[in-house]
Amino acid sequence: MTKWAAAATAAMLAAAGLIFLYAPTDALQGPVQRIFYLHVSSAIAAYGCFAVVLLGGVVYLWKDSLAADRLARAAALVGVVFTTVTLVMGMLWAKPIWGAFWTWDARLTSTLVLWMIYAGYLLVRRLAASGRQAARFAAVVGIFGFIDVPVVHFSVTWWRTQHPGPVIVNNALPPEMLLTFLVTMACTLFLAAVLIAIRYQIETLTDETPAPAAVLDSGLRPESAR
Amino acid sequence: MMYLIPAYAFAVLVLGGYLAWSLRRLRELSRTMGTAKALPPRGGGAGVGAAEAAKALPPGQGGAPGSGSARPAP
Repeated sequence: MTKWAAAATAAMLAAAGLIFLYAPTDALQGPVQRIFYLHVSSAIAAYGCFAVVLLGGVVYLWKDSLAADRLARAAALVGVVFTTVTLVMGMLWAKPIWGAFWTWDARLTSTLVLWMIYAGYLLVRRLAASGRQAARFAAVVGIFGFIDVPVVHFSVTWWRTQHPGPVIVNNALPPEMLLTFLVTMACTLFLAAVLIAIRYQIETLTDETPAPAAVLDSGLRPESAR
Repeated sequence: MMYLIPAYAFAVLVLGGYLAWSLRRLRELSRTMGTAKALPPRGGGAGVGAAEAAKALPPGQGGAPGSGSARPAP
């Protein structure tokens, strides 16, 4: 897994090279426009992670598969990390362009709601006693929480928002910027996949780790006693 | 530049930090699982250390013949 992590790091460094050395500076916004590449890529990676949570939840409820539940848990955490990056980078772009870090427009608000839904999902997993009941409840939260993903994505077309509209489908980017964006998006999706895989292994090992009483019986000292 | 650098610094910190932390946690858990699997279960029955435990016991109490102290049976 360390090799995959190194590959993902190398891919992100290559993307950074394109963002800072290859992509031209925007004539209107200046250097701050370069935030766009990772901001949008992180948002797409978060959508992908939440789609995995949805899939994991459906498979868990359908087949009662523990592996699907672990996958959903892993993807939810990675999705929240990417949504955090999206929100903070967006705020740091908004300040010089709009003059404010935050406005309550449809895209920003729905993204914040998305972050809260999946942060709530993780909270449910942490607070509820581990078992089938918690997994079932979390699967339902994960499935219904995904409803917010299309709301976030189409908010700029459904409502009049301050947030810029779609630029890729409207062919609004010059070729160098488009290439930089596509490469960054591919590298970010790869990083997200690696993070989910690592997290999945952590969840598997955590599930298999003996309970503290069993650890004491076997003569091992639990981490808390060290 | 004033906002570009903090934006990317934050992204590197969060994504890089999360990747590094996850790898560390995975290594710790793998090590813990490896140690737990190597230890014999309670009672010294089966497991890696079972043969060594049986050898240490005197004959008649689960020990291998010719091993341990030659204490006579009552």
